[in-house]
Amino acid sequence: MLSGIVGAGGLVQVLTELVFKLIRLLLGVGLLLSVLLICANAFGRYVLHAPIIWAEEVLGYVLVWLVYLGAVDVTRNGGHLSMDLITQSLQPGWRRALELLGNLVFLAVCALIIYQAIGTISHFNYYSQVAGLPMNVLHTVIPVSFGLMFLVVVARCIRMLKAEDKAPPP
Amino acid sequence: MIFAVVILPIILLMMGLPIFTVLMASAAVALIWVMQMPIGLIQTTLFGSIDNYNLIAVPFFIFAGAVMTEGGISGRLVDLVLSILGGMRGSLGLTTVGASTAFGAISGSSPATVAAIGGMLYPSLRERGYPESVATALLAASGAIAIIIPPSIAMILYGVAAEESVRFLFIGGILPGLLTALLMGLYIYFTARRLGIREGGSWSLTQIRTVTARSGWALGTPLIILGGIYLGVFSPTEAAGVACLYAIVVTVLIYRDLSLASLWKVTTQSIYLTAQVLIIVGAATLMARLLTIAGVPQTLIAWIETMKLSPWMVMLIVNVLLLAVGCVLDPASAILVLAPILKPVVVAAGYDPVHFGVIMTVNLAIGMFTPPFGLNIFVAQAVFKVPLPVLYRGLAPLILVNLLALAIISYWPWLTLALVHALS
Repeated sequence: MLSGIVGAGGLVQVLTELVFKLIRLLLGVGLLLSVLLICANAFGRYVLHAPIIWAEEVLGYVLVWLVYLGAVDVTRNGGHLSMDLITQSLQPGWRRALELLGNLVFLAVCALIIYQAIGTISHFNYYSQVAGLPMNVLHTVIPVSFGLMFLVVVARCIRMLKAEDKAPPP
Repeated sequence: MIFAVVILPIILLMMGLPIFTVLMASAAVALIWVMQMPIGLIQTTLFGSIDNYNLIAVPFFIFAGAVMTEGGISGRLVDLVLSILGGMRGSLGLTTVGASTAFGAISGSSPATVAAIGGMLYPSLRERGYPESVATALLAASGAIAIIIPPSIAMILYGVAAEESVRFLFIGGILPGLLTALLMGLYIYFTARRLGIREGGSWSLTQIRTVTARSGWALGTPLIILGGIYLGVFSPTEAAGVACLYAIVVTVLIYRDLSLASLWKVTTQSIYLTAQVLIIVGAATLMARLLTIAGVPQTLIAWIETMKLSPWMVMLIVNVLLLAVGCVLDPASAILVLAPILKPVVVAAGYDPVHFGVIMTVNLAIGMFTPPFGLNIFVAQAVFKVPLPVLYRGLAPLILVNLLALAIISYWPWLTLALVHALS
């Protein structure tokens, strides 16, 4: 395996795979535990007459993490819902130019979200009402996820530009 | 303002950008440059809009549907519906509609229904003489019933965006969903007669009993979801969670059709699908909030009042708008952006907001199989390898049948609200 990691590119690839495996593990376990938690809450309420009072609040936070961290994987696979039929029907040159421009808009949106999140979260010094979880920690999922999406799209742009360099002249 | 909320989104949408990026970029321009509001609103909206108890049902319903598809429950449902309808003319076509309706009662996802039911029934439909155009179009259109029949992810999103009860929306969707299925069933019955399709098979009580026994556990899921919600035992979110656990127990431990490795694969796929749909919620909520602050719904209501439009004309205009939007945009995005704007307009015209939620869902369900951008069309094209013109030919009469259903649902509120009033 070590022989495969020759250059920095190889190391980056291995690290990237590791990060995505960790994200999938975290989110997969999160979803399965959420199923158990909501069932336990329903059981507790009807059978034991003792619902888990923090269940609903925690499930809401788990969902926020599922959505934003899950979106990093969606970004990596280019799987976001879009209306791409018009761009698909364009000439390859125009299509690539529009794709690159689209990626730049995506990067600008990510940068804005990260910038405003850092400024806003630093003022959060309160805890969730029932479970008592620190809100600034819970909110970090947004800058972290959009930061990862930013890196994914930067890598895609570099790949696109490199492929353009290598492309044979028309 | 018009540039930020109308022209810019259209340009970015045409460029093929992800819908959430389109909404975020446009909302950011409106927020920072036009309205000059604090940008901290972005953080609190992105977090707070997803942190919603009703939305937790979305990953659960997606997960339950995926577990049941992978675990062979859809196959058992098809066998059951076929055994009941087997003796009739057009039985396989009717089974397609019936199985899509039954599958919709556990899945809530339209493209998943086309892929799951279509993968099983398409070869048999062709073998029994259904032309390529009729078979593929029927599968693409039947899949759309899944988002009308509760549980429906589209209705959950409407409930969240318009602040209406998801339980009432689910109850309201039952009769309109069944009406749509009935009209499509009638269409396929008469098409089978016209084409002279004579299908074999006979109706036997013994066979129905055998198949029912074989798929008994599979039928438990719709019973838990629908029975639990309608009898008020569970909230829609709890019903979705219990359905996940039940589906896992049935497919992994009882039927043993789903290995633990496959269960893990289905879990990660469900998270992927959830993120794909719900990432739009944050951006759409921000956009809708800005439009409300800018007074867009009030301006629309004032415009309708000056035009002196009667309620039925308002509904006609809204229906045409939704059909047009449904042809180019997926239901989730359309509902999240338009529901907060259109709900005040139709309520001001005298319509019930739950009724409107069902109307909106039916409209966008039709958009799922309406050319040129209906998502089910592309799923059908990919799964059945059929040329688009052939598919379009088969879809035309089915779109008309569904428009008839939409007209009845829109102008006969009783159909939606009778059960809501009875069960509330």
